[in-house]
Amino acid sequence: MHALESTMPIAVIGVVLMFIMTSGQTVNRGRDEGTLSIPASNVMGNGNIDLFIASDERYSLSGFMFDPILGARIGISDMMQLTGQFIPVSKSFIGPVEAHLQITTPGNDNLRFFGMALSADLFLSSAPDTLSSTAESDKPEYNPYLFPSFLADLDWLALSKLLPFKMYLSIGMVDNVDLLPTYDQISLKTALEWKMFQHSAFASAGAGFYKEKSSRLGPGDASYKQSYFWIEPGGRYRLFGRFSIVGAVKLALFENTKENNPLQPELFKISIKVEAPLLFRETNTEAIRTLIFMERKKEKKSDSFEKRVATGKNLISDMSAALMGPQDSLDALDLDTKGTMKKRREETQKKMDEVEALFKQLDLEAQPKAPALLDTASSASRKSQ
Amino acid sequence: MKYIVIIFSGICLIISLAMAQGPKRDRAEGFYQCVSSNTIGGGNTWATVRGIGFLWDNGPDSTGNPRAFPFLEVASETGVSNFMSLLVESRILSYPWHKWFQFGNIAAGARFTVPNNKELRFRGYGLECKWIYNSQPEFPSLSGYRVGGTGFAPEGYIVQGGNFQFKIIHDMDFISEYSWLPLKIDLNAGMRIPFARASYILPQYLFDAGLGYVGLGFDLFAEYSLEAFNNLMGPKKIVGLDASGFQHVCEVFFWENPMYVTLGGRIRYENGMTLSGSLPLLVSTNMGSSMTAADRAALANPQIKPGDQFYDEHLRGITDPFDPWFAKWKIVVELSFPMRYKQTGAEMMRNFLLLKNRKEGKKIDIDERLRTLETQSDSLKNDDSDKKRRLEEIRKRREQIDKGE
Repeated sequence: MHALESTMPIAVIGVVLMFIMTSGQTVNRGRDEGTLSIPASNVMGNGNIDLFIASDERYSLSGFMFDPILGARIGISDMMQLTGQFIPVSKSFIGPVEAHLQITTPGNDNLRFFGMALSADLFLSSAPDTLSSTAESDKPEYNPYLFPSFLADLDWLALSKLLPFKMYLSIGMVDNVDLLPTYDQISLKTALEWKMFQHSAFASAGAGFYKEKSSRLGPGDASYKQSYFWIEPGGRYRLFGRFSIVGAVKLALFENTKENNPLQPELFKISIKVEAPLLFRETNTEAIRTLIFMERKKEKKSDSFEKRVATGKNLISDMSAALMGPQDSLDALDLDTKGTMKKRREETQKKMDEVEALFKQLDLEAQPKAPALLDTASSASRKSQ
Repeated sequence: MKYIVIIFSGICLIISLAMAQGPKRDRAEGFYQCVSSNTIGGGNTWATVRGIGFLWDNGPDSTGNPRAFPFLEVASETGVSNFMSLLVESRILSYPWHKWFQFGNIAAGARFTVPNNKELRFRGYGLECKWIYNSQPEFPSLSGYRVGGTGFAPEGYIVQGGNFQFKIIHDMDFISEYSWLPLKIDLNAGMRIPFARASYILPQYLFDAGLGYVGLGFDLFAEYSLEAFNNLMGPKKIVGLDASGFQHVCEVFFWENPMYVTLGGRIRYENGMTLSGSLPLLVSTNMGSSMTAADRAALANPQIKPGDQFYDEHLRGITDPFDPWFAKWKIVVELSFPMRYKQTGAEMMRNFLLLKNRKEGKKIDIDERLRTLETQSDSLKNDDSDKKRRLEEIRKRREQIDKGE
């Protein structure tokens, strides 16, 4: 049994290494990758599964907190994904469990410029609520909370290959899960991400607005009178082209709290997350992104195809055309452009035909006057006759 | 570490199995609590492993003070004929006591449906009968409202010993009428009748209603489930539900019965294995007094007079308060797979209709795409070179003419 236990870790490492080796040098980039605090509006490919492990080290006026997080994401269809996560060890025995069902707008399977999504966010609180009307300290309640949130993003790469940036916006009703039993919340977040072939860098900023709920201790607040603002720079580093390590540092810049029973927001937070795809199938969106990144490397070549690719836009048009139906890239051009090109080619052809006809006529007219101009091959043939 | 390795190996095995074979579908698939009227098909056997977990806390009545309750259940269904199947299920690990898990229950039964089960039918009717034996002698209860293994557990009211349960099933499968509408509605109504007799042992009425999207690769569903005493028209008094022998009296209103709204989904793999996740959320609400120290004191006040809080309850002889302090939420994860399988005609038709209406997204083969674009580029280049040659000849002739040759 001991021998089995000692060989098991080696077996696991072996299996993991096999996964890595078989993955080759391609980049497994998920369509749903966003920043650490704002998910992309895009959802995963249908049937894809990601596992992730994360840790949050938080500091507020009440002290340091450390939360390990385990979770998984699964793509349910081409426009829906389910994310679940929980904190296995926490100060209150076990941390909150979260489930997010995200539905995005059509066009998700293409490199779209503007995307948006709605998410149903369910939080199964593990913080004992002892303040509600039917709860007491020895009769705590662990309540669920269900809220919607809105996500939108702009993928500038879809417009030009020279702009590998993505901008995010998130509006929700949860800023701090631990404070859900005591506060109504509004969360506004925005971010800018610079996407590279494998890695990315991002900067997020946001604000949380809080309204204390009524409880057996008091009537609560009439409005969202407490708030704080934060920034969060970070990045994504891809390991072996497959695993993502996402890290960020959050810093509260400004806070507005009341004097009596003030809010204790997170002043400082370091977050690290490791994402591992368990089942991965490349999506069209990321295939196009990869292709654009790869083509950028070939910019130095200057044949007509490369020039055309170099504009980036044409390549996207071609790919979009391939996705939307027509298999010929020329079909992707708009009708006016195609018409103009065809007309110009026909005119050129016509003029060249006219000029060549004129030359033939000149040759014919010149024949009796200048027999010497006839080629030797013609005269040789006449002689042989 | 050992457990992590086992879990990891299990996940790898499941995924490899899931990716190995063709599409299979369980004819008898319902939602979480809602049972389908369809039976599984003659000769087929399906097995299910289910894990349930929630947080709940009643220190004084749960020795060892557990807060997180994990449960493990197994079930199987075997088709005897095309309109009858046999069911066996068990809660293997139930409420812990003195920090040890107890065996929960075992159940056996049968489900019958009308003989047109072979077809993909719009309206289905069925009957499910079960004998359930609850064996656990102890469990943490709502404010100690239990006698031995009978009383209010965090998930609802349970009675130790034998119980007979039946459900009349009706469902509507819209895909059979409209191939573009893969929706299903399940309705169940029935009773759970305990064999034991005592003043605090009561039958329960069961009602489940569910609406689900039943797709090719995944399902989504929402359902409502209720386990009610006979208290629709007025509160039900329960007398003597106290291990100390004190004849205390509490009453349960209809809205205080355990009722859950469940949101869930199911992923279906090609070999027939399904992975389901459900989140039952409690929607019961308190009526009248609640099980807090203040309300208890108010009810027990011998000087209570008209106009005082809970005076009406006092008049009805209520000595102890009640509120639906059941688990507010649960997490249910379920793995189901075929042990013996033959495709039924109805499910083959469902697969066909779903495939027919599937809008398959177009995929790009990047290598092929690049080759195509390069070929186009070459043809463009050839075209250009021909034009250049002709223009060069024209230019030469023009020069000759200009020179007067």
